Amino acid sequence: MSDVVLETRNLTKNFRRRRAVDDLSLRVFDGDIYGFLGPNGAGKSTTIRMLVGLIRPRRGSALLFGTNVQADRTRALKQVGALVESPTFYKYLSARENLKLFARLSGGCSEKRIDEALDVVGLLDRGRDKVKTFSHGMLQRLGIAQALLPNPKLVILDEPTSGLDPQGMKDVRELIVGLARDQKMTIFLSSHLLYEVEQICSRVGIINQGRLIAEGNVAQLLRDEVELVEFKVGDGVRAAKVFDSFPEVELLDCLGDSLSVRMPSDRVPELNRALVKANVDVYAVFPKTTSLEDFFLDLIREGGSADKAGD
Amino acid sequence: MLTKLEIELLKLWRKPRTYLGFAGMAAIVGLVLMAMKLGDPFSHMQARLAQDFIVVGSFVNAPFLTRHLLDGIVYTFLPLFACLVCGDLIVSEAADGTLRAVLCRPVSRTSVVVSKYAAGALYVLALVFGTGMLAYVAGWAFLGRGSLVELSRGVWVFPEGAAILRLLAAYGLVAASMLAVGSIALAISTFLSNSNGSIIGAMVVMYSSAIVGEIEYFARVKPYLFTTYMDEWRHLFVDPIDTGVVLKCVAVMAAYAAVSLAIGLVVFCRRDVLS
Repeated sequence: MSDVVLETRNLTKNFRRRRAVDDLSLRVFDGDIYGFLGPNGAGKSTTIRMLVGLIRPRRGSALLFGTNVQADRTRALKQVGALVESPTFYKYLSARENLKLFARLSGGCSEKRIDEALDVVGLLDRGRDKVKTFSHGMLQRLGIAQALLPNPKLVILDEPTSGLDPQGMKDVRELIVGLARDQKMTIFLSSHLLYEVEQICSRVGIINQGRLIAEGNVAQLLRDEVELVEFKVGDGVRAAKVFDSFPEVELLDCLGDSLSVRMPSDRVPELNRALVKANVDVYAVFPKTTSLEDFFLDLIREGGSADKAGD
Repeated sequence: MLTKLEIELLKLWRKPRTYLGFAGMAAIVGLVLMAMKLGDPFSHMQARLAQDFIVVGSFVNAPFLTRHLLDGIVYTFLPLFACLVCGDLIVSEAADGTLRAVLCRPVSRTSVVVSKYAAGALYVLALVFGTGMLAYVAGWAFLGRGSLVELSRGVWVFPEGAAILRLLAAYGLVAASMLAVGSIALAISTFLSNSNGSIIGAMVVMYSSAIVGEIEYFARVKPYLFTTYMDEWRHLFVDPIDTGVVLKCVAVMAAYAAVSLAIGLVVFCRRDVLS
């Protein structure tokens, strides 16, 4: 198994009586693009703030590269670039001056590196402009440049495509995939955009009401749901009767002649034979693929009580 | 630490608010100079002197302007401008979110506070001594140079060289007071999320302390109040100088600054950054 780059152990945070993060334990491995998913108010940003030491957990710990953030923030953040919530800069300084200033806090970097970071996010020609003239999308891109500047091994991005236009979102997604692939960076990104996470993340953690309700490899999490099978048949009522004789088959939905069932996938041929034997015309049998969106919404509907884990 | 101090100074240098203090003090120097040049606000002093001395010419000159400027600014403009900058150093960054971006970097919170405090202290020193220098240079240009005549605790005449040294020491003591006030503003700002609160809070602490010091009932706490010592610079314009009083003033101001910094550090290092 790869090295653990980021880990939380029973991380818990209360704001007065409200529990924002509840006993959260997750692991991000070297090379992962880890999507941290959850609806608004689920506790994503609070978790990220604890990861970078902006707020103190009530209980539990956050570790970056094996170093406890609470015990030694400076060491823990040495190889980390982060963009937490909306990007903020000194408005009276130019983009380049801002980057230089933030780079100096991490030990400094060359002008060439600043050019590279600006170029990566498409702001090279606006480097000398004061940040107060920037749009939200430009600030977001500058925020990503700021996170990448120290050439970190782990990049933590909180809603990195927030406020970007569709082309900007696509560019940022490609950038993230490129960073992981070409520069071997580990990416931890929070998002509520399921499509985005499904597209770019290798592993995912889903949080709801402060609790991690599922974690694992995206493909594995979705494969767990492939036992949903849809049948298109000539007579839905008769088919449903046939299904009743199979105790392991759970009829989920029956819309006319289209039936959705949950069942072990290795029993599909047997069920198909039973339908044909009962004179039910079978037009199609196909596994019902679950998008991350379906999976996520199912979990949230279940109230976040079902803890699921993939690889 | 030096890098962080440089960064803080760069931010101060580029922030428009920094120049408010300098512009304000320049305007006040200009007004006092104009009053001294065009009006005759010290005729009663001249008349009082003339009872015992033969007064030739005017004693309103550069040292006189620089010395008398302090009467009007020690409890008013200087603490206001010191608080305006020191009270804003942490809280404005907390409010606009840049503090969050800074603290996502591998920097210790202690070093962030100490570098901001050091930048604030340098600003206060520049403001106080800059005001003194401006007053002296402007006074020299428009009123001329000469000895300093001091009438507040007797009649003292200090030759120009000695007057300059005493003025430097007096502005130094005032700077120590302003460092204490600025430190209080910085400490208060670590509790708040709005810079106006820290500025007003520090001014309220200063004026409350001054008022308490004047009430007989609180006589026992008076020696512990920093405002009790904010006027001790006046001791530098008598002969001989009571060094005990001067050193006590420096020690009290240093103690207030140190305690305020310590409170600010403890609060800042423990607080959750939620902005």
